[in-house]
Amino acid sequence: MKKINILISRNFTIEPLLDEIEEKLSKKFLKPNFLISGYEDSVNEFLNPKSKFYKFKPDLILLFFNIDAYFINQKIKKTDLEQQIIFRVIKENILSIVSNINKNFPIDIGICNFSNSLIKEDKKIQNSLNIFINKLCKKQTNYHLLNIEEVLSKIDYIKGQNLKYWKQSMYPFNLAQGSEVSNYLYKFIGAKNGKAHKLIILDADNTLWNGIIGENEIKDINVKKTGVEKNFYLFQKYLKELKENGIILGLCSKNNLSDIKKFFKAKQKKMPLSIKDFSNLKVNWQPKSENIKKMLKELNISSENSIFIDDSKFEILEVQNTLPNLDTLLVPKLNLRINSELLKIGNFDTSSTTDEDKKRTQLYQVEEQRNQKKTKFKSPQEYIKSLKIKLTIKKNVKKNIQRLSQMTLKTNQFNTSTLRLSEKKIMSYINDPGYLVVQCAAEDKFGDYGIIGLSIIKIQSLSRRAIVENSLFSCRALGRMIEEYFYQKIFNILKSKKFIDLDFIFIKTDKNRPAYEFFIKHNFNKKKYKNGNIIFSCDLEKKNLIKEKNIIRYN
Amino acid sequence: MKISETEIKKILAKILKIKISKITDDFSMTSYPKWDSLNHLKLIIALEGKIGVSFKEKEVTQITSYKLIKLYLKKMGLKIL
Repeated sequence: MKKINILISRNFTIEPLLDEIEEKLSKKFLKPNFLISGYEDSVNEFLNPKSKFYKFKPDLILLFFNIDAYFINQKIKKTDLEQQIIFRVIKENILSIVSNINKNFPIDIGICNFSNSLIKEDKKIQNSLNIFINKLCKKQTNYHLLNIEEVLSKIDYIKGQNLKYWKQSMYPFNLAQGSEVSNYLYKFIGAKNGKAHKLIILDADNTLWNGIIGENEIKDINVKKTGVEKNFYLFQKYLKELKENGIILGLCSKNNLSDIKKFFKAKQKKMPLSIKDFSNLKVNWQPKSENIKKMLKELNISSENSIFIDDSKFEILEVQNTLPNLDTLLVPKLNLRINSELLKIGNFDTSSTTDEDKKRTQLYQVEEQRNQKKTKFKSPQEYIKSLKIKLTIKKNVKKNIQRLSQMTLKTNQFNTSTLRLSEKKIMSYINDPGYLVVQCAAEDKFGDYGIIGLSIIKIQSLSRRAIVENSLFSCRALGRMIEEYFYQKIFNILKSKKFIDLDFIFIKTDKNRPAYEFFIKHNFNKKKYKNGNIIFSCDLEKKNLIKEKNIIRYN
Repeated sequence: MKISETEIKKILAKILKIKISKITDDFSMTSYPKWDSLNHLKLIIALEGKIGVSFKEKEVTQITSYKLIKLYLKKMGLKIL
């Protein structure tokens, strides 16, 4: 279980939301530790550097505001002038909190907008404040709008229930609203901790289209914009949108591959999805659990970052038994409400889509081509050399910050410390002369890998020692000696700056074994570090990771 | 509609973090300090959500013991087994 400190600043009761959030996060191996502000003390707590907020060392801050909470026991009717003054006062209050956070905590901040005002006059102020919050969240990359107003717009407001809870305990949500808000916040916290979904594994018959390929004529199976098949059409359209925002699609169907290919070809002008939209196909008669395990291995994606969708309860249970961390969705009859069901369960962090996201399906397809060629070579070295890999290594470059932050969020396997870093935090390292931020991009004869490596190195010029606080490598590029050439280049950069020693801080997780194995394989000195962690160190003068030269070239 | 005492006790036990065996008719806000106003709100939300009932505004402040919870649920027409 990974612990995460979440600081909550609020002016109304939010506690009933937290149990559900905690329960859901525990299924993703995250243990949140909440520190909740009082109803009115947030500004003072943020102003005081000795306050409990600072001692808490939060990993994430969430801000909650409710307009009615500012006016408990005050008159309800307000003049236009009073409304304008109230707007300005609350705006200043929010700005004061946010600017103090910004100065002192270079971490992600989720800012919930205003919702559920019970008083008519307050709704006008609420709308103006939400426009202000919306603009505020666009100013900094670590500010994230939590659009509670939109979440609640889809659920009925139950006056009796809402009022009852509010009068009793200043809790503004009714039962259904509370559950939706909890789910929404859980997804946000999960996404900020590397738990967003990356892969959707789809069954074919009666999931993507209405009918069974082996039993019905191709002409009788339709995906139309109208009628019964409309839900299938809309589902495919939604999947296509997700794919274009970097979510990987995999097909896992008990069918003959030739029949599936024939079907996609016949329907290519009628269906939103084509066979090329899938990065991995497992179309055969093997158990789905086996196929999914293979797919996850080939794509190097963890089961907890994936969802499996099927119309058969049997298949869902069979897969759940073998892969308990995989989220599953049983297709409702005739795909009714499938999109909203997928939206509810799916945690697709597509808010900041990078170039790598847009071409991810293509990257995985190219990877498949590489793997097919692999078997033709006698040795791994020979295969790697044939790829004609070129590395581009850059240090302290302010480009691609979004991608670098995203990698810290998504990379679990080759990640030395699994520190999740906001764009702002990475920028602060780049601007800090005491740090070196090195990024690595790669390409080969098959195509571009994009940015795949990052190291954040603290440099201690006096002692001639450098400490790698965080280093990671995208799993899709592992095992191709790229990591060796990347680190060797870093060693050379440090040697040229007269550094003698290099330490890697290694924080063991249940996932980062591949990184651990790398340091063991290359005989780094292993030492104990604080809190049960490890340091892998080396003498820069003596260390050489590259036994065979010219297998990979530097640009 | 029917509900067993164990099911009601399970809801209380989860919210108030107490063993089911400790919940008797005397179990109340005064006898158990952890049953504070915040946990009371959570308890009302859990009872309404899990059992599918809706307490009136006045009732929310009155159901301050396990015995009273059962009484008000009975008033709503629930059969407690």
